[in-house]
Amino acid sequence: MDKYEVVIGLEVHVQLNTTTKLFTQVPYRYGEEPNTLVDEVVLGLPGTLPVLNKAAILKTVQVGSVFGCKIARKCKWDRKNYFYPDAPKNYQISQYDQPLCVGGFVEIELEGPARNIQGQHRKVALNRIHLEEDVGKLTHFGDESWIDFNRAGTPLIEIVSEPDMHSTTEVFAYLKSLEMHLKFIGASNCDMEKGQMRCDANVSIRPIGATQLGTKVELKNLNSISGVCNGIEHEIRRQIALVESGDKVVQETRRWDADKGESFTMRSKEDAHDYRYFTDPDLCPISLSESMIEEQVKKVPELPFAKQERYMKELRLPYTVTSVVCYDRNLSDYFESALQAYSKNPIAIANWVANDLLREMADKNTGWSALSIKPAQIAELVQLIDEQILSKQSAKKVFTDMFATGKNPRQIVQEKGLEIKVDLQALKKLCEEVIVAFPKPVAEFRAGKEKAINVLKGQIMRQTQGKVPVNMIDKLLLECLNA
Amino acid sequence: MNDLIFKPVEELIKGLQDKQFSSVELTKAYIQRTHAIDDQLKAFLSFDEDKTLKEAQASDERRAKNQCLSDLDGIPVGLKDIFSEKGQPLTCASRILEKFVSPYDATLVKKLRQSGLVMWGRLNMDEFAMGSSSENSAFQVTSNPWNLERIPGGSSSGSAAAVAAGEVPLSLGTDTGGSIRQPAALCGIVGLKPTYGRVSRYGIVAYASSLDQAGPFARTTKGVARLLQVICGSDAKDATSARRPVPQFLKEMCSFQDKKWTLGVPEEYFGEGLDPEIRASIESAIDFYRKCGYIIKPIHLKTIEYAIPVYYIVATAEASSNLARYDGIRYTYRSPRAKTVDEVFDLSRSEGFGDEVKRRILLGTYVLSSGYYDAFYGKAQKVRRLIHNDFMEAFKTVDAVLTPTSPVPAFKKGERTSDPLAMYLSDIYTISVNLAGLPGLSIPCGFTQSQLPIGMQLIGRPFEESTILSIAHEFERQHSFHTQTPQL
Amino acid sequence: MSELSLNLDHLSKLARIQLPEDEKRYLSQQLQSIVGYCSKVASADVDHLEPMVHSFEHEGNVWAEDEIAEGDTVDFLSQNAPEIKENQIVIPKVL
Repeated sequence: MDKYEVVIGLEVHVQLNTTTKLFTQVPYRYGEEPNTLVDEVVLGLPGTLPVLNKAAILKTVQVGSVFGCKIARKCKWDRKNYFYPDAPKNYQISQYDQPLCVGGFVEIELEGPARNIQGQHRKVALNRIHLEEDVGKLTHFGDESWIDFNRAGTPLIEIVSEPDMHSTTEVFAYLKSLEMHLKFIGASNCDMEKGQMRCDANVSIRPIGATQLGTKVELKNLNSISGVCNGIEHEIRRQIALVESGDKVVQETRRWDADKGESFTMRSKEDAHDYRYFTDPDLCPISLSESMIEEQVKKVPELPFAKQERYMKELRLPYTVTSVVCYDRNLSDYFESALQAYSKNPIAIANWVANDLLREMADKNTGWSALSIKPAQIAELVQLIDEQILSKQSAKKVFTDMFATGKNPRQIVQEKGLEIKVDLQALKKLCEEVIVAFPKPVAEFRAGKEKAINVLKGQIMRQTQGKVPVNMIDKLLLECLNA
Repeated sequence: MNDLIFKPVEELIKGLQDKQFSSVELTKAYIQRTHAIDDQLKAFLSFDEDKTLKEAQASDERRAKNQCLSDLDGIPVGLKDIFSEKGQPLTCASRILEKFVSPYDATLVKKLRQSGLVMWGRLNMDEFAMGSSSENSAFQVTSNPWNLERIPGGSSSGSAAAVAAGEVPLSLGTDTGGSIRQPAALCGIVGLKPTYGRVSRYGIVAYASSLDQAGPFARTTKGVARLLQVICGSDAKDATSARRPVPQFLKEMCSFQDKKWTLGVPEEYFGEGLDPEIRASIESAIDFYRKCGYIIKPIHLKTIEYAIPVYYIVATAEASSNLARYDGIRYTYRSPRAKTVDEVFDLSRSEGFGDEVKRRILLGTYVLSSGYYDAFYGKAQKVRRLIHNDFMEAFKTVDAVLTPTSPVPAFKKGERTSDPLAMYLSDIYTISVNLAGLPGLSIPCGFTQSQLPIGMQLIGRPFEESTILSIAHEFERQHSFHTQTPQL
Repeated sequence: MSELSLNLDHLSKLARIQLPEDEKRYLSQQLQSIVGYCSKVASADVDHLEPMVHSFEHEGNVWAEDEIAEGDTVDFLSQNAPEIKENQIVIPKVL
């Protein structure tokens, strides 16, 4: 294994979540009754013609901008000709030599040395991103196959990387990054189980130090992120075994069988790989102006990794928290809304949002659109704690209530009488009692060991059952000790 | 009613308006004529008499309430079996679509309905529009009404023959390399191929996407102008349809009446291979225009030598891809012998397609295939540009180009079927017009000694259908070739 | 171009048209002569020209809004499909 360098390139197809299909105004939804999301264009009936869905182009420009691609001012459509039962026209409308996006990169984050330490970032080079139409779905029963064309005609973006990855760790990070970015800008839901994201891998090996690429093998049917990694791992071992035993790696396409844990040479889809590409005469070329592209680029929000850097630097949020808050668009929008309402304690807000909010949403199976609790309300909750009107313990109760009812925290605090009522006299008395009861830590503290105060503090906190804000205890305890 | 069936559309419109006859009466006249002669002529593949009479009835009801949808309301029109009509067969004269019933209307068909035209029958053609005689139809060979042993031209064979024989006053066909103009010439009627993009292709079975256009047949230029008006217009469902305003063709063509146009006569279209009787007829027409005060200018269109090779590369390449969808899987004929998926494809297509279609698909596959693309398809696309430029250069100094439509009059059945290349050469004068995307028409301009019709072609600048109609109309109103009818 | 090799077997595989032996012979001859005729284009001086795919250039882009269009409910498959089960098209098993 150490003698060889692995070179991996990925071709990822992602379903864009436009309302209608790429070349006709039929809707697309997952899980509908077979052959109901079709029309004469989808089915390739005689005499039908494609008309481009504008939104698919505009969304792809956004995607290209996210990944730093060069957006083509002019691009066109080509026919990729091959016969297969899931292809209604027996050609696929795609982009061959003038793709919409060229070059670019996907920034990935590798695992750090510990869970709470940010790992290294690197940029995996992209070759291109282009648009094409999806085909139908085949299911196999006994000696029959059934065809459902619901999925046929949906817009797919094909993201082709350079052979720029060298381990399944990088592959995993790449796929996670793609998923995160595409979901973040609302381009796709990237659910591999629903076929919204599909991945083929090109794998080759070469002796370490060699500059020429080895023979590559294409792997298909990698149906989940773990499947991708397992399939690639297996292929690497297979290729190494071949080479070590004096054999050559044959350039071929292999099909991964996740159940069996091995791959098999595939029967080729078409007898000869001659797609006879030519410009589709039914469609006009696309011409994008600077202003059109600018308009789409403007719609792209601050991206997760950049946002994460900013949160860590400017807001001083720890890495682990930012990894939760920054990677999800809904979450980060929510957080930033809350921050706008009250900006003095970002870490506290982040914790409420990243921990309590998400947990409650999961427990109660509530989606973002069904949330009663508003960002400003969480901000207010944190403010109440900061102003020592509410203790942290009580705050949890208030939060649960807020989540259920959508009421303002102040209102709940009032209704339930949860304000901190601190009897300063009683507290002072308690401090004095504790000082008397624990002479050793007191002496240590007075001798200069500052941490000794924690024992005293702990006692008082226990006895006040968390109803008194800690800083209040601190203040009073210090006063008593110094008196 | 025999005289009624040969009346030009202008008179039929007047007759309906003046209540000389109803749409039902008029339609019945054509139906009767069809029953009387079509066993011999074989222009029709199918028809639905009840449906047609219902449409005629509906027209009469509209007329009674003064709610006519257009001037053409109530006039029958025949459709080449290539236009998708909801609930009707759409065979393209092929076995592979023999049982196919279409679930949707072509945009063009919608427009016919919106104008109140009465649709009569599905007309014979060469299979998938590939041919020049109807001999490639999987079902029947149509005869030329002027001589039943001869072919009517193609691929819009039935559309031309039916109008010429009085089975219908108007019809629609398609033209990819001459398939409206050539049969119009051979049958002695008027046929027009509009500028590419004038008429929506949505719902027209595609042969060569960048060349196909639908167009009208009628006995007169005014009839053609009227039907053209109905079918033109940009369509959101056809990305290649032109988004230009559609002029009032009839009005414009009449307004041009006194214009003295400049006509270009290309030397290369009068070379060897042109039948001497046709040559004489065209030269006589040129003389006529000269006497009218038109300027006749000799021009050169040297690129004619490339027309047929470029056409047969570009058209077959597109066709090989367009016809891939006919595969036995979803809605076509599926071979009962097929036991595997591969056999579903291979056998259904082998059994479902005729020889000429197979030839063109294989040729198209070849010119696109790896290793041959640059030399054939890539090159042909550039030569196409050359042909286009050649015409546009000519149009700098002439308003229209005048040529014979066909180098020969209607040939005998079976005469050209053994040599495909010989069949291809009969399109020599019409093909360049499709490659350049220009409008072209054919009008009757004479007869041979043996009473076979001769047609003259006029080619115009892009979107100038009115110009060529007006030039044609000038000839028509001073001659009576278009009033002659076959003895059938 | 003098000798053009036309591999009819290869073409018929690509085009999915099975040809019986006797058809292959005459088809091959006919195609050979047509291809020979078509290679006339080789003599044209056109390297300086742009290929012509469409008859005219559109101004602006031709595209549609991302909205669902009203359509006729089409009971199409049941009318025209060679074999259908549970509204899906049935074919012999794809290997």
